[in-house]
Amino acid sequence: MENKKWRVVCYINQFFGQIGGEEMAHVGFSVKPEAVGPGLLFQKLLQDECEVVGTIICGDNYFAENTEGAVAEGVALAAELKPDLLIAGPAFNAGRYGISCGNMAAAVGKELNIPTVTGMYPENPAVDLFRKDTYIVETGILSSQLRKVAPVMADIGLRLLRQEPIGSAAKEGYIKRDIILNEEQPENAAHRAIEMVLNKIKGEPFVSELLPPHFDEVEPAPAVKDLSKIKLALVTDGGLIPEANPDHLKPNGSTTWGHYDWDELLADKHFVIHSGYDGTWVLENPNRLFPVDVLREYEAAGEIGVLEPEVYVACGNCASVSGSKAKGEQIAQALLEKEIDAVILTST
Amino acid sequence: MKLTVETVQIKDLQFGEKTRFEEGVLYINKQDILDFAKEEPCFETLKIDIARPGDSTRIINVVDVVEPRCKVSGNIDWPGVLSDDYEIAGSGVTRAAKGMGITLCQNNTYWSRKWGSYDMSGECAKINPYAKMPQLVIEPMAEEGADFRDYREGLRRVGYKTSVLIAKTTLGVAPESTETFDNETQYPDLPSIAYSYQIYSKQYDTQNYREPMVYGNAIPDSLPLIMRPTEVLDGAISLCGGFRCVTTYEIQNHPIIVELMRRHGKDINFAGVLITVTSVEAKHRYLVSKMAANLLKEELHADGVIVTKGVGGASTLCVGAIASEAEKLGIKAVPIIQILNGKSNLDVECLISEQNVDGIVCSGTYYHNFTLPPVETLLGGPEDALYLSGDDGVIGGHKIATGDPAKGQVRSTYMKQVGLMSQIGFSYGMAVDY
Repeated sequence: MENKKWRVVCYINQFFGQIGGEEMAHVGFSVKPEAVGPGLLFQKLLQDECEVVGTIICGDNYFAENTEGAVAEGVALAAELKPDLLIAGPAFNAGRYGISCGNMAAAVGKELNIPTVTGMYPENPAVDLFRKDTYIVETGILSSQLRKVAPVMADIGLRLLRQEPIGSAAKEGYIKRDIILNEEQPENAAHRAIEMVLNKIKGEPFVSELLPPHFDEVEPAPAVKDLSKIKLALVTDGGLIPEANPDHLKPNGSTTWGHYDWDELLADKHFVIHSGYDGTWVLENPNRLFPVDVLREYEAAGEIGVLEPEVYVACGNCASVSGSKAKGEQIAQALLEKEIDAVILTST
Repeated sequence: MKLTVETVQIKDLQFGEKTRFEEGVLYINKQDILDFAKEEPCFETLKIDIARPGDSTRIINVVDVVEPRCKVSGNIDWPGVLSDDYEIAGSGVTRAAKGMGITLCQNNTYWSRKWGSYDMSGECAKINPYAKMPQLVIEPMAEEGADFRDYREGLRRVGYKTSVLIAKTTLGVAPESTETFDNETQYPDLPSIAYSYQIYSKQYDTQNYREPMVYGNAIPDSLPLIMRPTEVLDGAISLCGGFRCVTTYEIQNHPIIVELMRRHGKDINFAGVLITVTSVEAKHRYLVSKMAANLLKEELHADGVIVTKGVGGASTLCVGAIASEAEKLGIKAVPIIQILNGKSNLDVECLISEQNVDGIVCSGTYYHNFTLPPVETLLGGPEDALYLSGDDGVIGGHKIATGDPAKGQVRSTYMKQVGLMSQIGFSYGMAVDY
């Protein structure tokens, strides 16, 4: 049976493109209609089902100095080659090369809607920027590891082309893409727990399925010296929102937040969207979530300067750490723009 | 306290003119179960169906699955729930009819903040123990304006009465196997393992209704209780709320208690069971965790403890605190917890932050998502019911009805699929980074 082969395009830098070393890092894009450098190895690994139809080469500095323009240029060149798969690098621990491989893999994947794969050392700064957008196969520091890592990259690329499932990060050797999935185990959780606690008691080795994280230490801001001069705002993760839910908060895993005038919020229909606690008490008296009643007394007495009339509401149920950080940064920015001096954060 | 559980195997489930058990087939006369509704003022009638493995059937609004069981001797059925007579459960002989389940559904989607569902065929059914056995699906139809509290407790009574009825129907047949659970004799020379079982959190109470879970009593702010392991297996703990990733079936066959009992005196000493509830305030949590650890050490003399939780983040903090306090007293602790979201990585999403808790079993992420195909038969709700995927929701009776039609293609999650994720270790999943 004569099958049409999938078209593979490789992206490499000037060094692997055999143009030159650091002295040639300024050169712009060029395209070779064949496999070059590491592409020769990919061609060999994939020869039964794929053909490397072109290699896009770009100097490290050229890419780094105008990343946005370089990405557009690179994607356009890739599009002309009509690829089914893009293989970038591997970049190992090279910083600028990692950035260009990550950018090319992410942008080509998104723009041309094709699978992409690259390879990097876990501490390459590009890893954190692009690991969610492509498959970054874990490599060693040095390019002498190419023969070890290329088969892993080729295999993932081929299975992406065949639309076959790709297993977990640890099993397949790529860097975590921030997707958590469940896998059925030979033993249920009860049996696994009994074995683990027995091993702990006996002092025998065991592998924990999770470990407590080391969270960032947040330095408390210095205390407010004179409350009578400040503008104070209220922020919560308690999910008290207008019934129309204009900011599309979700009962759990919510990534959005809203700000609402307190009196309007209470005058119109409102409810607690947070599905992690019973909102009965908050609905009975919303001051339990936001102590507006007491703060207004303080405001009237001149003990605090101004209470911001809008409250800031997020829904904290089942939120990821990164999602919460993003929401926190957005809310902090909005508070800064309103020249808020201090906030009270209430949780549920 | 010794509990003997004798079993018979049910090979098939059918409706018939007379409720009887013949050659492995259980025949049910619907009227026998319909009669239970007459005793429940808030039910007009019951909808009763049979769902079989492989059927193109989706069951929604599921709040519980129950195994048919009845007392043969030595005690009463569900003390405090089916009767006002109180006896301490967990002794004598119990008959269990294996191989089928009774699935309880609440036909009003909006009464519970949490309900589950499952399909009898397809991707999820392959890994779901409940989809692998015939199910008697019971769905009470309530009068307009019925109170959800009455409804829930009525549904529980009907489910448990049905469980007793079916098990009693098998009593004419000799048991196929018997097993005695007994940890009265302690073996101090063996590694001694206790179980700390968090059964409930009031954070999920709907409209301040406290679920009566311990012999029919609510224990919202309870301090740790010591309970005999056989009590748990034999009717001391009963669910009465929405679906929270544990079923009565799982409690009746509690995988931690059963396995510790089976190994008791062989390579393990089963020290005993502590019952706790989720603390919703830090002060309560500090006391519960220190008290639990102290009881584990001074009363149960445990070398190690397995700690399980109810649904949610606050519950996880509490089991983390118990595990950490136990470790401080030299007791090796292993909590079973879950990941509360799916778009992140395991390095940052463990909600236990005490660094001395270094052995954790993770029974999955709540949000491993599925897309499930349309089905021919929908049970548990009206034909036009909406499927609330978990992104959508119903909170405290407040409708946000943005779900897809439940009979069509729906989005679901691992935690919503009854049978896929068990808080008490019945399930096989583990969370993995992709």
